[in-house]
Amino acid sequence: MMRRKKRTAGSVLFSILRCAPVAAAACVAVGPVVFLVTGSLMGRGELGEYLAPVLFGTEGFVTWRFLPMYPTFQNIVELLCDSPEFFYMFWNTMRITAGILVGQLLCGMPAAWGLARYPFRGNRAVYGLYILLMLMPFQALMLPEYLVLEKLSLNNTLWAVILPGIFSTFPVFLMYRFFTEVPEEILEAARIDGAGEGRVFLYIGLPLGRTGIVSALLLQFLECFGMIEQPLAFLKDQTLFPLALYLPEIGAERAGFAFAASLVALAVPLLLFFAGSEYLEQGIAASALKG
Amino acid sequence: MNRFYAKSFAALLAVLLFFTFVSRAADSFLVTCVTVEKPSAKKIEHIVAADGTVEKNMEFPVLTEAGCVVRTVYVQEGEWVGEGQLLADVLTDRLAEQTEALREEIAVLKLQRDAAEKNARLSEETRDRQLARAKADYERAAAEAERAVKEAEEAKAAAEQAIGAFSAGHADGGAADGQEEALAGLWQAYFEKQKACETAARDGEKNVEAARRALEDAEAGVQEEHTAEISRISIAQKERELAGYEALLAADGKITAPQAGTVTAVYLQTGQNTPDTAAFAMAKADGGVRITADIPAADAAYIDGGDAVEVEKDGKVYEGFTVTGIAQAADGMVHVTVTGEAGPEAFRIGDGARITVRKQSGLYGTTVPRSAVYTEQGKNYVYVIEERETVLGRQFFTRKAEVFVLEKNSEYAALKEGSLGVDERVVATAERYIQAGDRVRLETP
Repeated sequence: MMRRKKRTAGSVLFSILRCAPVAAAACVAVGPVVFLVTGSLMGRGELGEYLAPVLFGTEGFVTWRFLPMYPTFQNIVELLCDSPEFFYMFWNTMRITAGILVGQLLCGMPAAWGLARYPFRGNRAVYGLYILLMLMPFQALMLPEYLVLEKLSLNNTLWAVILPGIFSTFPVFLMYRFFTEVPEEILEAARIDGAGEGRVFLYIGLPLGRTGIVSALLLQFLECFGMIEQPLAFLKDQTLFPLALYLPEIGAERAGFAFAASLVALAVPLLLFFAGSEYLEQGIAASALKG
Repeated sequence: MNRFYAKSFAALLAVLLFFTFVSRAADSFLVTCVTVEKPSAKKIEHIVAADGTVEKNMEFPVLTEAGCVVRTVYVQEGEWVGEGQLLADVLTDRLAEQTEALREEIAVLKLQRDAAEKNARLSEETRDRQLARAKADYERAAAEAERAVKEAEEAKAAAEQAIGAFSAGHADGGAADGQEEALAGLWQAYFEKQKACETAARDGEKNVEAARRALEDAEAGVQEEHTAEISRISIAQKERELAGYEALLAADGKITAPQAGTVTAVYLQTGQNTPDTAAFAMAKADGGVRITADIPAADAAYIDGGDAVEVEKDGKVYEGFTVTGIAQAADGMVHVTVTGEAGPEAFRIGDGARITVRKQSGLYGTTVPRSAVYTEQGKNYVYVIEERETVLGRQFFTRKAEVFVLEKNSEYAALKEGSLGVDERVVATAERYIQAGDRVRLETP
């Protein structure tokens, strides 16, 4: 009994010591979310008291409470009932994201299937070009994209953000990886049974590459939902701005409202992340291991 | 896919969609709806209107003989009557008695007059006689006094001569005792004469003074006698009164309107005596209509004497009226009198009528609706609309612009040139209180 007890205590201690850094890192990671939740439940006065050095430039340091002294839903109510501009930008974001994702389904998926399943001369070169484009930062592509969109008279429209997003290379890269994993024998069997290439793609390629497709779409959703550079570069009309451009516009005097808006903005990708987390893990693993 | 989170995600989108509509609806409800107008060139028309009352105009009295008993009054105040229309009548038998009594009274007066005339003549003769006697007494006293003085002076002169002659005869010899006594006697006589002379003068003056006073008393003793004259005047008055009674009696006691007009006052009462003042007061038919009204002093600035006035009564508009009087009244009001020609049948005294005076200013280049002008701390300002690009699209916001109001009426205000641009949209009306910087919604007509 004594030996067992000693082992248990040592084990616990070891576990604590082993988990402490991870727990500390998790706390740091979760900190902003907690900050958002508590901040959105604080009134203007309480927030002003805690954040005075930041908001009003007073001396001292920011303080914080993890439970609001005077909790209020005022910020949430104001956001939901008295902020049409928030919803306007939210749905702008959703329109952009949905447009890009649908476009990628229509264009990126066949492209990835073609690259993965139809070897042709220069196949590797094309794939290499995709990789190259994927690695290029947006700043490098911004000017050419801007000039093309200007010629097409698409600047200052949602298409200026959606079209380049549709032809993003990362989903092709990710889906390519999963499509290459589909056994050739299954495809051959289908062809022998009389299935055309379209049916092969729709009934064999898509189901078997579903994990890659879903993970690509989820990652693209997360990326598009927080997109800032592209709208800033190609959109001038405020009515077209996505939510990511609205949040920084909220003044310091409406800090509580900003917390509430950020919380709602966070909830959408967070729920989607939890919904498709298994696909995401596989997709990230695939892109990391097989890249 | 985790179904729970997937459903939560869908539910969150649904909630956000719901609140999208809620926030839009709340925003539409909370944003003030305004109407706007651009500044325009206009003349400012001041319309001063007030409810007035038809008043008496060009009144005259209807007289009748006093002291008659009124039998019936046929008219009342405000009634329109034609010329010769019966107003009232009096009891004729009583009137006949009064007429007869008056005649007798006149006869008595005439007798009194004759007696007074005769007495006056007798008094005149007596006075003349007394005066003549006093005058004669005076003259006689004066003559006697003169004669007595003259005689005394002559005696005095003779005594003086005697002394002279005695002195001349005995000038070169010494005076004897007999001579001195003689001279002393002469001197004694002289002094006596001199004293007699003074006495005569004094007595004469006394007598003349007494006669003069008697003459003055005779002249002053004459008393003015007007009894006859008074009687004649009384007779004349009574005869005029009699003539009035006789005329009224001849008219069977009827009192009629001397000319067409409106009865403005009735001073008769059935069974009572007619007064010695007017029996009725009437306004002339051709005297026009007079309307008075009280207007606020602020509006009076826009009214001048002679201004044309529009009069509305019983839904009908009458023109041809003018402002004839403006006077201060109590409580910061101004009393305005309006007269004009109109059918007297339409305007009865005491009727209500609405008067309207319209006056136009010169042409102002910048006018805005009066409702657009706000006043704060003695300064005037308007709210102009600014368009701004926002997240929700092009939206309208208010901006306060200070203006200088030159003139205004109930509808428009004329602003100083340059206060506003010609293309600026000014908030004419707002459904709620607005402030500078407020987001507003333009109401489409």
